[in-house]
Amino acid sequence: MKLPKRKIIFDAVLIGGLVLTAAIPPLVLLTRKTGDGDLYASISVKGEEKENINLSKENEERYFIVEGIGGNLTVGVKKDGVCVKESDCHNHICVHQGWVSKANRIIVCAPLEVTIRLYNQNISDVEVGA
Amino acid sequence: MSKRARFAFVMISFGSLLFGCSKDVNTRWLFYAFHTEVAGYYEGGDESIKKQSINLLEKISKLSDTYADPGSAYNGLYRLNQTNDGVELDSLALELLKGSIDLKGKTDGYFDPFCFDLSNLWKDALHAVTPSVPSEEVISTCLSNMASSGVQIEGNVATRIGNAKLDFGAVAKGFALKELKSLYGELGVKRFSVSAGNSSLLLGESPAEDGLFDVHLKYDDSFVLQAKNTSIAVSSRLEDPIAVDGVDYSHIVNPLTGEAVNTFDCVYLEGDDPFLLDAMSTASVLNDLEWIKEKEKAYGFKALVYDDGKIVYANEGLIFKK
Repeated sequence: MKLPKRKIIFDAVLIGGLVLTAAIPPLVLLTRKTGDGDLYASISVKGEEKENINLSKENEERYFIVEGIGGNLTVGVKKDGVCVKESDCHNHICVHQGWVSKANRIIVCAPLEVTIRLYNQNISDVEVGA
Repeated sequence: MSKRARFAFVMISFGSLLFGCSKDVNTRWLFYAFHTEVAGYYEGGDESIKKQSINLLEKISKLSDTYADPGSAYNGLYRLNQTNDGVELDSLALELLKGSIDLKGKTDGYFDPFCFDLSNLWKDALHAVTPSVPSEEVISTCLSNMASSGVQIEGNVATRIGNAKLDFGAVAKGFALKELKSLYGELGVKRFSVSAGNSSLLLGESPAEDGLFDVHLKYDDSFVLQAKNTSIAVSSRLEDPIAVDGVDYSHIVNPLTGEAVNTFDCVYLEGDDPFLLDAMSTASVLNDLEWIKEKEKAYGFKALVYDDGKIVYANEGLIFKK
């Protein structure tokens, strides 16, 4: 049976449309920028996130104050690095850690209840270390 | 084109769209507990899992904190430290208490929940403006108090005997991870990780095809450990050691000798029970390799031991990736 020309064109357009539609999700997944390479610092006070900084986009070293519980810290950020430069805490364990630049590492200032966690988008990476 | 073919095309497209939209959904969460940060991930976007995880952690963090009164709903173990009268405990607090006493036996006393005063003694001396070592006399008094202290438990009422106070700091994170493991089992959560201050990890499966996590070691970046459906605990003297007269003192104190000098730099343990691992890793840095190997056999965990910056023992069951 010979199909009418209009119907063939309609089918071709429909098939083309469907193929394109089906291709969108895989294309989105393939081309989406996941930021896997970017390193972030999440700064929290008593578990509440105060700052989330993309360290990979920090081109200049800079310092700012974070208000902890019962005192302040001076936090430094630079490209792919974060540190606690000064702290009102009594033991300065956080300051002694210096610049930290590896994903999944944390700086904890327990007396002021401030934590700084470095992370990237790769969930399969974890770090262990007391 | 037939109607059937058109229908098939539509269904394939729709399915593909759904697949594309649902893939890669993971939930990350952070919570401040145990005086550190607990970070987790799980597959999917079900917010109730995050809520239940945080509720459980908050409760255990509060009830295990014997240093400060966390509030009446959770302060059973804190009150136990303030009195020699009987104190009513809820089921979680009771489980933590009983489990900790059990772990004292399993570690041959190298983990002792009655170490509150001894730990504080060292903490205060080492973190003073001029660090020092506590006198033998004071250490001896602490040890003697610990030796004559205990807990009697009848039903849900616990009574502390003697003067030594309880401290769950070394095992509270592991206990919490054990409870989370049960929760995730009940909820059917398979892909997840939870890191309690990076010293205690609970791992399900990762988003990777083989489900394995790459576990980076803080003090050795020459390789990674690969693991899934397990837990890992680490104890180390490398974290904030304090030197007095040329000797490095650690925050891990030997409850049998009262000394704060450890045998090994660092001990990583991998196994099923994060509560047990927390106590065993603390005990392992105070012991020798024979003791560690004996406990590995008895309790089925795998150890990785460092000293002087190099591996001195690695269980052959551990998976290394260069």
